[in-house]
Amino acid sequence: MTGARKDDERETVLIERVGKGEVDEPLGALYDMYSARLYGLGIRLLGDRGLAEELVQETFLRLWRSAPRFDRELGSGTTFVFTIARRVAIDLRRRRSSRPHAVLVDERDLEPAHAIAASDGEIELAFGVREALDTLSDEQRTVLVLHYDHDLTQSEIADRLEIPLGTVKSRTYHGLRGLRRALERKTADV
Amino acid sequence: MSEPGAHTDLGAYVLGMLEPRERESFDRHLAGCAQCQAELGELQAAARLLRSAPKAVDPPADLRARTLAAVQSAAVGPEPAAASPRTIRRRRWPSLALGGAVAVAAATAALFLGIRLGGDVGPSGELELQATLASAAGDATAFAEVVKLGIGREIDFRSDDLPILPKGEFYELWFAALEDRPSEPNRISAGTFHPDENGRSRVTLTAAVDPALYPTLVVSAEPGDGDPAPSGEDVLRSAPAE
Repeated sequence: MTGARKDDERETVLIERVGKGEVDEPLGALYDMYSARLYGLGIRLLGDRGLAEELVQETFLRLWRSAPRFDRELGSGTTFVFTIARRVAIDLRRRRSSRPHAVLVDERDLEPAHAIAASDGEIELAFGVREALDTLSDEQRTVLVLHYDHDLTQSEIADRLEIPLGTVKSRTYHGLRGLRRALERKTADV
Repeated sequence: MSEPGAHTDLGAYVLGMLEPRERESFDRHLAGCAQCQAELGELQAAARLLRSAPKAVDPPADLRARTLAAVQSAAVGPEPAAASPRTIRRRRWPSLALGGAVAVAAATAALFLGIRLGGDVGPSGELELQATLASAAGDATAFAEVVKLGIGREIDFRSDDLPILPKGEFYELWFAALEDRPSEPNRISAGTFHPDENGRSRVTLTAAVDPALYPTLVVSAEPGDGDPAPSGEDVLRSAPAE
Protein backbone atom coordinates (compact mmCIF):
# COMPACT_ATOMS: atom_id res chain seq x y z
CA MET A 1 0.00 0.00 0.00
CA THR A 2 1.30 3.44 -0.88
CA GLY A 3 -0.91 5.33 1.57
CA ALA A 4 -4.62 5.79 2.00
CA ARG A 5 -6.46 8.46 0.05
CA LYS A 6 -8.06 11.16 2.11
CA ASP A 7 -10.44 11.95 -0.71
CA ASP A 8 -11.77 8.42 -0.73
CA GLU A 9 -13.33 8.77 2.69
CA ARG A 10 -14.67 12.19 1.70
CA GLU A 11 -16.31 10.82 -1.46
CA THR A 12 -17.77 7.88 0.43
CA VAL A 13 -19.36 10.20 2.98
CA LEU A 14 -20.70 12.49 0.23
CA ILE A 15 -22.31 9.59 -1.65
CA GLU A 16 -23.83 8.29 1.57
CA ARG A 17 -25.33 11.72 2.22
CA VAL A 18 -26.82 11.77 -1.28
CA GLY A 19 -28.19 8.29 -0.56
CA LYS A 20 -29.96 9.65 2.50
CA GLY A 21 -31.75 12.26 0.42
CA GLU A 22 -29.48 15.31 0.50
CA VAL A 23 -28.92 16.77 -2.94
CA ASP A 24 -27.38 20.19 -3.42
CA GLU A 25 -24.39 20.29 -1.13
CA PRO A 26 -22.98 16.76 -1.34
CA LEU A 27 -23.85 16.34 -5.02
CA GLY A 28 -22.38 19.77 -5.79
CA ALA A 29 -19.17 18.75 -4.02
CA LEU A 30 -19.05 15.52 -6.02
CA TYR A 31 -19.72 17.49 -9.19
CA ASP A 32 -16.75 19.74 -8.41
CA MET A 33 -14.53 16.71 -7.85
CA TYR A 34 -15.55 14.74 -10.94
CA SER A 35 -17.09 16.93 -13.64
CA ALA A 36 -13.86 17.95 -15.39
CA ARG A 37 -12.62 14.37 -15.51
CA LEU A 38 -15.96 13.11 -16.80
CA TYR A 39 -16.28 15.93 -19.33
CA GLY A 40 -12.75 15.24 -20.59
CA LEU A 41 -13.56 11.55 -20.93
CA GLY A 42 -16.78 12.47 -22.75
CA ILE A 43 -15.10 14.79 -25.24
CA ARG A 44 -12.44 12.23 -26.09
CA LEU A 45 -14.59 9.10 -26.10
CA LEU A 46 -17.79 10.52 -27.56
CA GLY A 47 -16.16 13.20 -29.70
CA ASP A 48 -18.88 15.74 -29.08
CA ARG A 49 -19.41 18.51 -26.56
CA GLY A 50 -23.15 17.95 -26.42
CA LEU A 51 -22.69 14.26 -25.64
CA ALA A 52 -19.93 15.05 -23.14
CA GLU A 53 -22.39 17.32 -21.32
CA GLU A 54 -24.95 14.53 -21.41
CA LEU A 55 -22.36 12.17 -19.94
CA VAL A 56 -21.80 14.49 -17.00
CA GLN A 57 -25.48 15.25 -16.42
CA GLU A 58 -26.71 11.68 -16.80
CA THR A 59 -23.92 10.35 -14.56
CA PHE A 60 -25.06 12.60 -11.72
CA LEU A 61 -28.71 11.74 -12.26
CA ARG A 62 -27.92 8.03 -12.12
CA LEU A 63 -25.56 8.62 -9.20
CA TRP A 64 -28.40 10.28 -7.31
CA ARG A 65 -30.73 7.40 -8.15
CA SER A 66 -28.19 4.71 -7.22
CA ALA A 67 -26.74 6.37 -4.13
CA PRO A 68 -29.21 4.66 -1.72
CA ARG A 69 -27.74 1.35 -2.85
CA PHE A 70 -24.12 2.43 -2.34
CA ASP A 71 -22.32 0.19 0.13
CA ARG A 72 -18.85 1.26 1.26
CA GLU A 73 -18.01 -2.35 2.05
CA LEU A 74 -18.35 -3.27 -1.63
CA GLY A 75 -16.10 -0.65 -3.17
CA SER A 76 -14.78 2.89 -3.00
CA GLY A 77 -16.74 6.01 -3.83
CA THR A 78 -14.50 6.62 -6.83
CA THR A 79 -15.20 3.17 -8.21
CA PHE A 80 -18.91 3.78 -7.72
CA VAL A 81 -18.86 7.07 -9.66
CA PHE A 82 -16.70 5.74 -12.48
CA THR A 83 -18.73 2.55 -12.80
CA ILE A 84 -21.87 4.62 -13.35
CA ALA A 85 -20.10 7.01 -15.73
CA ARG A 86 -18.65 4.14 -17.73
CA ARG A 87 -22.12 2.68 -18.28
CA VAL A 88 -23.47 6.06 -19.32
CA ALA A 89 -20.55 6.53 -21.73
CA ILE A 90 -21.16 3.14 -23.31
CA ASP A 91 -24.87 3.89 -23.66
CA LEU A 92 -24.16 7.25 -25.27
CA ARG A 93 -21.51 5.76 -27.52
CA ARG A 94 -23.95 3.12 -28.72
CA ARG A 95 -26.52 5.75 -29.43
CA ARG A 96 -23.98 7.73 -31.42
CA SER A 97 -22.56 4.81 -33.35
CA SER A 98 -25.89 3.29 -34.33
CA ARG A 99 -26.00 3.11 -38.09
CA PRO A 100 -29.58 2.78 -39.27
CA HIS A 101 -29.73 1.17 -42.70
CA ALA A 102 -33.04 2.66 -43.70
CA VAL A 103 -34.94 5.75 -42.75
CA LEU A 104 -37.75 3.56 -41.49
CA VAL A 105 -35.58 2.12 -38.75
CA ASP A 106 -35.77 3.92 -35.46
CA GLU A 107 -32.41 3.84 -33.71
CA ARG A 108 -34.20 2.85 -30.53
CA ASP A 109 -35.09 -0.42 -32.20
CA LEU A 110 -31.48 -1.33 -32.87
CA GLU A 111 -29.86 -3.94 -30.71
CA PRO A 112 -26.89 -2.98 -28.52
CA ALA A 113 -24.86 -5.35 -30.71
CA HIS A 114 -24.60 -2.47 -33.16
CA ALA A 115 -22.13 -0.88 -30.83
CA ILE A 116 -18.52 -1.22 -31.87
CA ALA A 117 -16.66 -3.53 -29.51
CA ALA A 118 -13.38 -1.65 -29.89
CA SER A 119 -15.06 1.52 -28.72
CA ASP A 120 -16.20 -0.17 -25.54
CA GLY A 121 -12.62 -1.32 -25.12
CA GLU A 122 -11.37 2.24 -25.46
CA ILE A 123 -13.92 3.38 -22.92
CA GLU A 124 -12.85 0.65 -20.51
CA LEU A 125 -9.21 1.55 -20.94
CA ALA A 126 -9.69 5.28 -20.53
CA PHE A 127 -11.82 4.82 -17.43
CA GLY A 128 -9.34 2.20 -16.19
CA VAL A 129 -6.45 4.66 -16.27
CA ARG A 130 -8.54 7.35 -14.58
CA GLU A 131 -9.58 4.93 -11.86
CA ALA A 132 -6.06 3.59 -11.44
CA LEU A 133 -4.87 7.16 -10.86
CA ASP A 134 -7.38 7.45 -8.08
CA THR A 135 -5.90 4.48 -6.23
CA LEU A 136 -2.66 6.41 -5.68
CA SER A 137 -1.91 8.44 -2.58
CA ASP A 138 -3.00 12.07 -2.85
CA GLU A 139 0.65 13.19 -3.03
CA GLN A 140 1.57 10.90 -5.90
CA ARG A 141 -1.63 11.45 -7.85
CA THR A 142 -1.34 15.22 -7.60
CA VAL A 143 2.12 15.20 -9.16
CA LEU A 144 1.07 12.95 -12.04
CA VAL A 145 -2.15 14.89 -12.64
CA LEU A 146 -0.37 18.25 -12.66
CA HIS A 147 1.97 16.89 -15.30
CA TYR A 148 -0.61 15.07 -17.35
CA ASP A 149 -3.77 17.19 -17.06
CA HIS A 150 -2.04 20.55 -16.82
CA ASP A 151 1.22 19.96 -18.73
CA LEU A 152 3.35 21.36 -15.92
CA THR A 153 7.09 20.71 -15.90
CA GLN A 154 8.73 19.25 -12.80
CA SER A 155 10.03 22.66 -11.71
CA GLU A 156 6.58 24.18 -12.13
CA ILE A 157 5.11 21.32 -10.08
CA ALA A 158 7.75 21.87 -7.37
CA ASP A 159 6.87 25.58 -7.28
CA ARG A 160 3.14 24.96 -7.26
CA LEU A 161 3.29 22.43 -4.43
CA GLU A 162 6.18 24.14 -2.64
CA ILE A 163 8.17 20.93 -2.42
CA PRO A 164 11.79 20.18 -3.46
CA LEU A 165 12.45 18.99 -7.01
CA GLY A 166 13.74 15.67 -5.63
CA THR A 167 10.37 15.08 -3.97
CA VAL A 168 8.56 15.72 -7.26
CA LYS A 169 10.81 13.12 -8.90
CA SER A 170 10.36 10.52 -6.22
CA ARG A 171 6.57 11.00 -6.14
CA THR A 172 6.50 10.74 -9.92
CA TYR A 173 8.46 7.50 -9.76
CA HIS A 174 6.40 5.90 -7.00
CA GLY A 175 3.18 7.18 -8.57
CA LEU A 176 4.01 5.63 -11.91
CA ARG A 177 4.89 2.34 -10.22
CA GLY A 178 1.63 2.44 -8.30
CA LEU A 179 -0.25 3.16 -11.54
CA ARG A 180 1.36 0.15 -13.20
CA ARG A 181 0.41 -2.11 -10.27
CA ALA A 182 -3.16 -0.80 -10.24
CA LEU A 183 -3.52 -1.37 -13.97
CA GLU A 184 -2.13 -4.89 -13.55
CA ARG A 185 -4.69 -5.61 -10.86
CA LYS A 186 -7.39 -4.32 -13.15
CA THR A 187 -6.30 -6.54 -16.00
CA ALA A 188 -6.15 -9.47 -13.61
CA ASP A 189 -9.69 -8.74 -12.44
CA VAL A 190 -11.16 -8.91 -15.93
CA MET B 1 27.88 10.55 -11.59
CA SER B 2 25.01 8.68 -10.11
CA GLU B 3 23.72 10.64 -7.17
CA PRO B 4 21.77 8.80 -4.45
CA GLY B 5 18.35 9.72 -5.84
CA ALA B 6 19.08 8.55 -9.36
CA HIS B 7 16.79 5.48 -9.33
CA THR B 8 13.79 7.61 -8.62
CA ASP B 9 14.56 9.82 -11.64
CA LEU B 10 13.24 6.93 -13.75
CA GLY B 11 9.64 8.10 -13.39
CA ALA B 12 10.35 11.63 -14.60
CA TYR B 13 12.64 10.14 -17.27
CA VAL B 14 9.96 7.97 -18.90
CA LEU B 15 7.42 10.80 -18.68
CA GLY B 16 9.87 13.11 -20.46
CA MET B 17 9.92 15.51 -17.52
CA LEU B 18 13.69 15.75 -17.09
CA GLU B 19 15.73 18.72 -18.30
CA PRO B 20 18.16 17.85 -21.13
CA ARG B 21 21.14 17.93 -18.78
CA GLU B 22 19.41 15.66 -16.24
CA ARG B 23 18.34 13.39 -19.02
CA GLU B 24 21.92 12.91 -20.21
CA SER B 25 23.01 12.25 -16.67
CA PHE B 26 20.25 9.68 -16.19
CA ASP B 27 21.11 8.01 -19.51
CA ARG B 28 24.59 7.38 -18.09
CA HIS B 29 23.11 6.02 -14.86
CA LEU B 30 20.72 3.79 -16.78
CA ALA B 31 23.54 2.27 -18.83
CA GLY B 32 25.09 0.85 -15.69
CA CYS B 33 22.03 0.13 -13.52
CA ALA B 34 20.40 -3.27 -13.91
CA GLN B 35 17.52 -2.35 -11.59
CA CYS B 36 16.50 0.67 -13.67
CA GLN B 37 16.91 -1.25 -16.91
CA ALA B 38 14.62 -3.97 -15.61
CA GLU B 39 11.98 -1.45 -14.62
CA LEU B 40 12.25 0.82 -17.66
CA GLY B 41 9.89 -1.14 -19.94
CA GLU B 42 7.17 -1.51 -17.31
CA LEU B 43 7.17 2.16 -16.41
CA GLN B 44 7.21 3.14 -20.07
CA ALA B 45 4.06 1.07 -20.57
CA ALA B 46 2.38 2.80 -17.62
CA ALA B 47 3.46 6.20 -18.98
CA ARG B 48 2.02 5.39 -22.42
CA LEU B 49 -1.31 4.47 -20.87
CA LEU B 50 -1.27 7.61 -18.76
CA ARG B 51 -0.63 9.75 -21.83
CA SER B 52 -3.28 7.96 -23.89
CA ALA B 53 -6.06 8.60 -21.38
CA PRO B 54 -8.25 11.69 -21.82
CA LYS B 55 -7.33 14.80 -19.91
CA ALA B 56 -9.69 16.56 -17.56
CA VAL B 57 -11.50 19.43 -19.29
CA ASP B 58 -13.60 22.04 -17.51
CA PRO B 59 -17.22 21.74 -18.64
CA PRO B 60 -19.31 24.83 -19.51
CA ALA B 61 -19.92 26.86 -16.37
CA ASP B 62 -23.71 26.52 -16.50
CA LEU B 63 -23.63 22.72 -16.60
CA ARG B 64 -23.26 22.55 -12.81
CA ALA B 65 -26.50 24.45 -12.22
CA ARG B 66 -28.32 22.51 -14.96
CA THR B 67 -27.16 19.19 -13.53
CA LEU B 68 -28.11 20.03 -9.96
CA ALA B 69 -31.44 21.44 -11.11
CA ALA B 70 -32.21 18.25 -13.00
CA VAL B 71 -31.47 16.15 -9.93
CA GLN B 72 -33.26 18.57 -7.60
CA SER B 73 -36.34 18.40 -9.77
CA ALA B 74 -36.05 14.62 -9.82
CA ALA B 75 -35.76 14.63 -6.04
CA VAL B 76 -39.07 16.41 -5.56
CA GLY B 77 -40.81 14.08 -8.00
CA PRO B 78 -43.41 11.64 -6.72
CA GLU B 79 -41.50 8.37 -6.90
CA PRO B 80 -37.79 8.92 -7.40
CA ALA B 81 -36.72 5.36 -6.85
CA ALA B 82 -39.42 3.86 -9.02
CA ALA B 83 -39.02 6.22 -11.95
CA SER B 84 -37.67 4.48 -14.99
CA PRO B 85 -36.73 6.74 -17.89
CA ARG B 86 -35.62 3.71 -19.90
CA THR B 87 -39.18 2.60 -20.44
CA ILE B 88 -40.09 6.04 -21.68
CA ARG B 89 -37.21 6.07 -24.11
CA ARG B 90 -38.39 2.93 -25.78
CA ARG B 91 -41.73 4.40 -26.63
CA ARG B 92 -42.32 4.56 -30.35
CA TRP B 93 -42.71 7.88 -32.02
CA PRO B 94 -45.97 8.05 -33.87
CA SER B 95 -45.37 9.60 -37.23
CA LEU B 96 -41.85 9.87 -38.61
CA ALA B 97 -41.25 6.16 -38.24
CA LEU B 98 -43.89 5.62 -40.90
CA GLY B 99 -41.85 7.53 -43.44
CA GLY B 100 -42.76 9.18 -46.69
CA ALA B 101 -46.05 10.82 -47.39
CA VAL B 102 -47.65 9.59 -44.19
CA ALA B 103 -45.00 11.34 -42.14
CA VAL B 104 -45.40 14.55 -44.08
CA ALA B 105 -49.15 14.43 -43.64
CA ALA B 106 -48.79 13.73 -39.96
CA ALA B 107 -46.27 16.54 -39.58
CA THR B 108 -48.56 18.98 -41.31
CA ALA B 109 -51.48 17.92 -39.18
CA ALA B 110 -49.42 18.21 -36.03
CA LEU B 111 -48.31 21.67 -37.06
CA PHE B 112 -51.89 22.86 -37.10
CA LEU B 113 -52.60 21.14 -33.85
CA GLY B 114 -49.70 22.93 -32.22
CA ILE B 115 -49.00 21.74 -28.73
CA ARG B 116 -51.17 19.67 -26.52
CA LEU B 117 -50.74 20.01 -22.82
CA GLY B 118 -51.50 17.20 -20.44
CA GLY B 119 -52.46 13.89 -21.96
CA ASP B 120 -51.80 10.28 -21.19
CA VAL B 121 -50.69 9.35 -17.74
CA GLY B 122 -48.53 6.30 -18.14
CA PRO B 123 -47.21 4.04 -15.43
CA SER B 124 -43.71 5.48 -15.72
CA GLY B 125 -44.34 9.14 -16.35
CA GLU B 126 -46.86 11.72 -17.36
CA LEU B 127 -46.84 12.94 -20.93
CA GLU B 128 -46.94 16.61 -20.19
CA LEU B 129 -46.54 18.15 -23.58
CA GLN B 130 -46.31 17.16 -27.22
CA ALA B 131 -45.05 19.77 -29.61
CA THR B 132 -44.29 20.21 -33.27
CA LEU B 133 -41.57 22.68 -33.99
CA ALA B 134 -41.24 24.37 -37.37
CA SER B 135 -38.86 26.75 -39.08
CA ALA B 136 -40.14 30.18 -40.09
CA ALA B 137 -40.09 29.15 -43.75
CA GLY B 138 -41.91 25.92 -42.93
CA ASP B 139 -39.24 23.79 -44.58
CA ALA B 140 -38.07 22.04 -41.43
CA THR B 141 -39.96 20.39 -38.61
CA ALA B 142 -39.23 18.53 -35.43
CA PHE B 143 -41.23 16.69 -32.81
CA ALA B 144 -40.80 16.83 -29.09
CA GLU B 145 -42.45 15.08 -26.19
CA VAL B 146 -42.00 16.24 -22.65
CA VAL B 147 -42.58 13.60 -20.02
CA LYS B 148 -42.78 14.47 -16.36
CA LEU B 149 -41.03 11.75 -14.44
CA GLY B 150 -39.98 11.19 -10.89
CA ILE B 151 -36.61 12.41 -12.12
CA GLY B 152 -37.80 15.70 -13.59
CA ARG B 153 -38.72 16.34 -17.19
CA GLU B 154 -37.40 14.22 -19.95
CA ILE B 155 -37.65 15.58 -23.47
CA ASP B 156 -37.57 13.25 -26.44
CA PHE B 157 -36.69 15.28 -29.47
CA ARG B 158 -36.43 14.20 -33.07
CA SER B 159 -35.95 15.83 -36.40
CA ASP B 160 -34.67 14.79 -39.80
CA ASP B 161 -34.47 18.32 -41.13
CA LEU B 162 -31.67 19.99 -39.20
CA PRO B 163 -28.52 20.45 -41.27
CA ILE B 164 -25.19 19.36 -39.82
CA LEU B 165 -23.48 22.44 -38.41
CA PRO B 166 -19.86 23.48 -38.91
CA LYS B 167 -17.46 22.04 -36.35
CA GLY B 168 -17.73 23.71 -32.96
CA GLU B 169 -21.32 24.79 -33.43
CA PHE B 170 -24.26 22.94 -31.93
CA TYR B 171 -28.02 23.01 -31.58
CA GLU B 172 -29.63 23.89 -28.29
CA LEU B 173 -33.20 23.17 -27.23
CA TRP B 174 -34.85 25.80 -25.07
CA PHE B 175 -38.02 26.22 -23.07
CA ALA B 176 -39.05 29.80 -23.76
CA ALA B 177 -41.46 32.03 -21.88
CA LEU B 178 -44.26 33.80 -23.76
CA GLU B 179 -42.40 37.10 -23.56
CA ASP B 180 -39.22 35.57 -25.02
CA ARG B 181 -37.85 37.85 -27.77
CA PRO B 182 -34.64 37.57 -29.79
CA SER B 183 -33.53 40.90 -28.38
CA GLU B 184 -34.54 39.93 -24.86
CA PRO B 185 -34.44 36.17 -24.45
CA ASN B 186 -36.32 34.61 -21.56
CA ARG B 187 -35.62 30.93 -21.90
CA ILE B 188 -34.07 27.96 -20.13
CA SER B 189 -31.80 25.47 -21.83
CA ALA B 190 -32.79 21.83 -21.97
CA GLY B 191 -29.43 20.81 -23.42
CA THR B 192 -27.43 20.68 -26.60
CA PHE B 193 -27.21 18.16 -29.41
CA HIS B 194 -25.86 17.38 -32.84
CA PRO B 195 -27.52 15.53 -35.72
CA ASP B 196 -25.74 12.31 -36.67
CA GLU B 197 -23.89 12.10 -39.98
CA ASN B 198 -27.14 11.27 -41.76
CA GLY B 199 -28.65 14.52 -40.51
CA ARG B 200 -30.93 12.76 -38.03
CA SER B 201 -31.41 14.19 -34.58
CA ARG B 202 -32.69 11.79 -31.95
CA VAL B 203 -32.00 12.97 -28.47
CA THR B 204 -33.34 12.55 -24.98
CA LEU B 205 -32.65 15.56 -22.82
CA THR B 206 -33.33 16.16 -19.17
CA ALA B 207 -34.45 19.47 -17.79
CA ALA B 208 -35.97 20.98 -14.71
CA VAL B 209 -38.32 23.40 -16.40
CA ASP B 210 -42.05 23.74 -15.92
CA PRO B 211 -43.64 23.95 -19.41
CA ALA B 212 -46.58 25.77 -17.86
CA LEU B 213 -44.23 28.71 -17.26
CA TYR B 214 -42.06 28.22 -20.34
CA PRO B 215 -44.56 26.92 -22.88
CA THR B 216 -42.67 27.37 -26.15
CA LEU B 217 -39.97 25.04 -27.41
CA VAL B 218 -37.22 26.64 -29.46
CA VAL B 219 -34.18 25.18 -31.17
CA SER B 220 -31.28 27.52 -31.84
CA ALA B 221 -28.01 27.00 -33.67
CA GLU B 222 -25.34 28.14 -31.24
CA PRO B 223 -21.95 29.41 -32.40
CA GLY B 224 -19.94 27.47 -29.80
CA ASP B 225 -18.49 30.65 -28.35
CA GLY B 226 -18.46 29.27 -24.83
CA ASP B 227 -21.23 31.65 -23.83
CA PRO B 228 -23.95 29.67 -22.01
CA ALA B 229 -26.52 32.38 -22.69
CA PRO B 230 -28.51 32.19 -25.92
CA SER B 231 -26.23 33.68 -28.55
CA GLY B 232 -27.28 31.82 -31.68
CA GLU B 233 -30.01 32.00 -34.24
CA ASP B 234 -33.39 30.37 -33.69
CA VAL B 235 -34.06 27.74 -36.32
CA LEU B 236 -37.19 25.98 -35.04
CA ARG B 237 -40.02 27.09 -32.80
CA SER B 238 -43.25 25.58 -31.55
CA ALA B 239 -46.55 27.34 -31.10
CA PRO B 240 -46.93 27.94 -27.36
CA ALA B 241 -48.89 25.34 -25.41
CA GLU B 242 -52.43 26.34 -24.67
